Amino acid sequence: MRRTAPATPRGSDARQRRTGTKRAGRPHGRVRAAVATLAVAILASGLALATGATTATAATPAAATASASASASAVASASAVAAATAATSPSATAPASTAAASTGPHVRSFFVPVAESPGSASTIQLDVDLYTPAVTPAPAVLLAHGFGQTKADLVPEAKELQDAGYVVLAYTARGFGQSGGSIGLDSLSGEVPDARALVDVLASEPAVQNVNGDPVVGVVGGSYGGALALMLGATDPRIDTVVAAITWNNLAQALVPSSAGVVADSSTSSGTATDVLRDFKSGWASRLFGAGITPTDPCGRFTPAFCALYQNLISGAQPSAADLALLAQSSPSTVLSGMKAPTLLLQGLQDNLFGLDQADANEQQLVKAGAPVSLQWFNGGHDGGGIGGTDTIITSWLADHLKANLPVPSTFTYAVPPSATGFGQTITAASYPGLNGASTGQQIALAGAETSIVNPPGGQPESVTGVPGLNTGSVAGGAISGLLSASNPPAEQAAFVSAPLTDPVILAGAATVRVHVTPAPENAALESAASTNAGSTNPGSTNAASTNAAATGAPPTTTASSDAVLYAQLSVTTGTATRALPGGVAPIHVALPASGADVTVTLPATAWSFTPGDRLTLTIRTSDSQFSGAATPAAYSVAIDGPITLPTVAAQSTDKSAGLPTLGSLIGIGVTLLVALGLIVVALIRSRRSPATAKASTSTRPGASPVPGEAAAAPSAAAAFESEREPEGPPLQINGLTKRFRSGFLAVDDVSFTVERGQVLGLLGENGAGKTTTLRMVAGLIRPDSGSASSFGATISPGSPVLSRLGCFIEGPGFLPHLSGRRNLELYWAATGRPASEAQFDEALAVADLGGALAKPVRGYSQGMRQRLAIAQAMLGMPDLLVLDEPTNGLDPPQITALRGVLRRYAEGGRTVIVSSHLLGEVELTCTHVVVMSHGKVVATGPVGDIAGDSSELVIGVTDVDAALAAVRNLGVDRAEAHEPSGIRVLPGAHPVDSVVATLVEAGVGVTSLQRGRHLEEAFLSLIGAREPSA
Amino acid sequence: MSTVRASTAPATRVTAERRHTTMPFRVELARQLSQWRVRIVLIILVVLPIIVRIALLVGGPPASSSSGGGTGASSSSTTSLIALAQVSGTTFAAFVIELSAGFLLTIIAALLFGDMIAGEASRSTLKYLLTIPVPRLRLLWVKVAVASTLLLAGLIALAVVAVVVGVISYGTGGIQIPNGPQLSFADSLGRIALATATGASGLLWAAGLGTLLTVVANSPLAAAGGVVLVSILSRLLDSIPTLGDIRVVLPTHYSAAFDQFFMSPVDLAPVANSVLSGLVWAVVFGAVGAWWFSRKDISG
Repeated sequence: MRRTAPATPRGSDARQRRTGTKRAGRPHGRVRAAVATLAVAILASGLALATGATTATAATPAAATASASASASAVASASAVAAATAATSPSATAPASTAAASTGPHVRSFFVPVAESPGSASTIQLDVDLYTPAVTPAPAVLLAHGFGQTKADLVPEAKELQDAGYVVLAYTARGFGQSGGSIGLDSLSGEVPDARALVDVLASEPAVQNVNGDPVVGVVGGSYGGALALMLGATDPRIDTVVAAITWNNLAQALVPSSAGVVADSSTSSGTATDVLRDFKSGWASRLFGAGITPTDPCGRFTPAFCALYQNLISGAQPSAADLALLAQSSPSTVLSGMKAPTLLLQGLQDNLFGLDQADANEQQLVKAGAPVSLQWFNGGHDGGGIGGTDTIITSWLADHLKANLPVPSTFTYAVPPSATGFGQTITAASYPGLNGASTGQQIALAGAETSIVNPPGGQPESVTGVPGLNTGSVAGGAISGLLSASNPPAEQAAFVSAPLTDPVILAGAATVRVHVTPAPENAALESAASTNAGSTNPGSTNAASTNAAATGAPPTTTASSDAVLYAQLSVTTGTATRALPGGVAPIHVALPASGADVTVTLPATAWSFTPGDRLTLTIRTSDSQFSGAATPAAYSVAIDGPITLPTVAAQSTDKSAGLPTLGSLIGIGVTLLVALGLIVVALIRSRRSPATAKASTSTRPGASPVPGEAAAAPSAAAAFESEREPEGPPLQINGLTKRFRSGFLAVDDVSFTVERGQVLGLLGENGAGKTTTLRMVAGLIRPDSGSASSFGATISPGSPVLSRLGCFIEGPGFLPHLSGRRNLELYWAATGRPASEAQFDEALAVADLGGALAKPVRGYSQGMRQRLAIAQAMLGMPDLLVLDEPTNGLDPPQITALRGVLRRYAEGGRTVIVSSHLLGEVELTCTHVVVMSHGKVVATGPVGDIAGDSSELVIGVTDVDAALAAVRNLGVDRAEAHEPSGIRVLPGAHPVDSVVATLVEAGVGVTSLQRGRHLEEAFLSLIGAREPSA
Repeated sequence: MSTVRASTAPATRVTAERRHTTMPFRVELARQLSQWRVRIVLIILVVLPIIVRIALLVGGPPASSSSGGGTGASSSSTTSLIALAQVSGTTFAAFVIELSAGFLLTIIAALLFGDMIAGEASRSTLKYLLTIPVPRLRLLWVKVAVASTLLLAGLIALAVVAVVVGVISYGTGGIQIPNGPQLSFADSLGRIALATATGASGLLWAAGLGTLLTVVANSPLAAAGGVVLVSILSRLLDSIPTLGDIRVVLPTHYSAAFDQFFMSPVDLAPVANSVLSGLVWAVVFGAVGAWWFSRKDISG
């Protein structure tokens, strides 16, 4: 039964996800990190810690990282497609596979039948994905997954390798996922032959590069897959290179480690391997076993032999010889002597399951077998985020040793994890010296009194030194393990502390120390006490007799008191913070003579950078949550015996890039500063250029001739000053000014007028006629949509220098309310940057006429006072053009009258005043010229007399208009015309008023009213087409 | 009012050719410092360390950080600057900086920068400044310079007062790094200075956004409130982990970068990222603000 997946949709899903990943990562160059995170989560997270919950939580950050757009759903759909593919019937197969085979990189899914056991006729099916790159034939990589995973977890790494140009075969090992069979823990009679069968598949695959009939195949795996890679590489000569990450050498030593402490003078207890006392790593082992169980079977998919082995160990027994033989069948140590392929061993520092000792054993065997081998320690592992961050190492290794055939370098690279005072480092040494370091190592004295420690009955409460799979490298993980270890029972531990270090030391390898352990004489008493307690808690056995019986009649059944179980751990104290060194604890299980013995303890190999001031602590405990330990109560007396030896490795080079800003950030900062500088320069150039053009226009434009009479009015000094100057433009010239507000309201519509020197111009119009808007454009506060305003020949735009010749009062005063009127004017003038002598404060303040209020805060002023202060502010420096918008608002009649005089006199000096108002009488009395605006348009311009009539004009109400007109024309007046509704308008000329009236009366015309003077109001109303205020 | 003898004064010509440096920096500084709201903002920064010191006095004596046994161990595993504030003067200063950098400084930056143009507009003084004429970009530039100066002065004052109050109260010990070593006094002073500088760079975005909003909005409240609102929104989004790497664009994403100087070892990467993020936002917001202001119609 051969089934093939429709490759295209899966491929596109995966591609989408990659694109998403890149998009998310690009801003900070995190593509690599994001891919790495994916790799970690999927390949390594559930690698061994494979309960469903753990896998789910580990996968979530990966999905988050990838989810730039809709890629989170892409992940989901990818696995959905995978599931669907696996579930569909064989009918959905062949066409898709042929279609996919024709183009580009693609993925094919199918099942490979393999023998259930060597020589067996029955077969099981292995679930396989075959990734083909764009260019074939290409070297092939066999990808093996971690414990509890399936081929789906390998998708990101497989895609990455496919993109790098490899044929990738990712498969689900037997006993997992859709593959058949039972879990044999990489057994030489199960999983390893399976993998060889898959190499057969690759060998027959045309896309795989072939050298003289030998396919070019590398095998890559982490943890469970790592051991498989090693064993396959050692048993199949077709394998060209092996990459094995965070994996074991000897499964028995990994799961049921022998004692890390040996009695120093062990001549008496030396014996065969079976005599070695072991301790079961129950924490991790039970977690692994849990990943294989199913709801229907407590043994899950494990082979019955392993199920029995586990049950035996978890109950606290020592492994039997048969058990060890079974574990040896699943250990690379059994076959590594056959390895010839170049091998990369990656081992994590944060790994309590498969420590650095396992990689060390692998390395020694490989060197002995003559295989080129490279060993690297990285800051990761089963207790530190899996194999995250190793993908670049793996791809570059494959490029060097699978695609190419470069010699394997002899250098040894190891990571040093971050500490309280330093960042993580990556150190390269000339060669791998083993766990005992390259030199004699650093001796550090530990101090501490001999301490009695007890193992409580049942080994409870336990000391907690870690939780399997908890990433202690992360902040949360570190905090959790700190919290857990904080409540470790003090009676169960002895601590020996060094003096503060004076020199920095980088530990690389397994520290060794000698302690003297004496079984306490009271051990027996303790046991009896335990029995007593057990008896007394038993209901119904309260009498002394039964208690005594229990105490005396129940000799210890489980142990000889000489059998000691202890745990040693190193930690470092920096300042107030204490951290356990990575690598876990060393289990010590030795037989002690009653007099005690010196025990040489080899601590877990690790790497750590100590800084001066750090103190090293050796803690000896009687229980540990990660080991099954001893249930029998016991007490020991522990003393330190000699200094601790820290192995070191001389560094060839050290990568200390951590903690420094990324190059991208620094370049970004530089670029941003340059952009900012560029923007400032552009702004400066533009601001310099605009006044330059204004200046040019000032000098080239032929100015309007000065208003006649100005020179006469001006003092001679001013006239002389005038004559030296080129003639310049009128104080204000407006051409076709138009402004439509964003609301669509056309406020000013094609307004044009010119104001000449010496004029007092009244800008007259109803409310909303556009007066203020026009003046705002004149002041450069708003930009006209079209048309322009120029002053003294210079076009006005926001901030034009020519505006300094304008004094403005527009739409109400504006002051700093908390400051006095005088201070306001002073600050205002200071803001002009001109010398105070030019301000002519006294004249301006005289206009304001505020008296004592000038020293009081403006917030207390009345409207009229503010108004006058604002007019005074506009007059500061006696500008050539004074623009006043509704200056009389809020002024009382005497003040209005006074203002009139001020403005007239102001203009007499050759200056110009523009006053806008809707008060007709005001304009009539103040102004020499008038511009009438209505609905945004100019409806009339000219001298006041032209608009409002001469001041000598008479408007006479008469009973008979025609007769009256005839009579006055006969008299010989300058002009006479009818005036609605029943009256005449007469410009009497030389005739006095009384003679005009007498003439009318003589002509028999009744005079009903007589009005002398201008009539701006009427003119205005007729100009703007006044309507009755009906609305 | 009628006493002006305009006719005796010659018609002075302030010519277009004579360019004055309008709105000198010192004048704007004087205008700002005359306002009580600006003074109060600065006073708060100066007084804050004293308030914190008093609060710690009211709260009781420092918990012994080296008390043995189980309690000591449990406290050491969860220590932070708050728990260590009273260990030494510089630790106190670091604690005060950490306290204020969270939100107080953002609000103060929002107030100072949000008020720049909108405040003038709301007092109707903006139009008079512009008709002086102070060129618009010149006005904005001087305003930004003054607001930055005030903010920096406030920050420096905060740090200095915190150190002085701390040293007087708790002595000249160095910063006690949570879960780490105790630094030397000189090193601590350097770190406080660097943390203050990084904290200032973390306000760049707020300054930029304040500049933009103060020219767009006509009310200083709207401008300052807008900055605070964006800050809250940004922090809110930043706390949603599923947004992943997109969060690096959030202006407050690196707002805790100054904290690196109160840690061991100091990771300069987030510090550089903070500076970059702040600069980018400041340039973007500032450029848009300047462009907007240069073409804005000033009404009201």
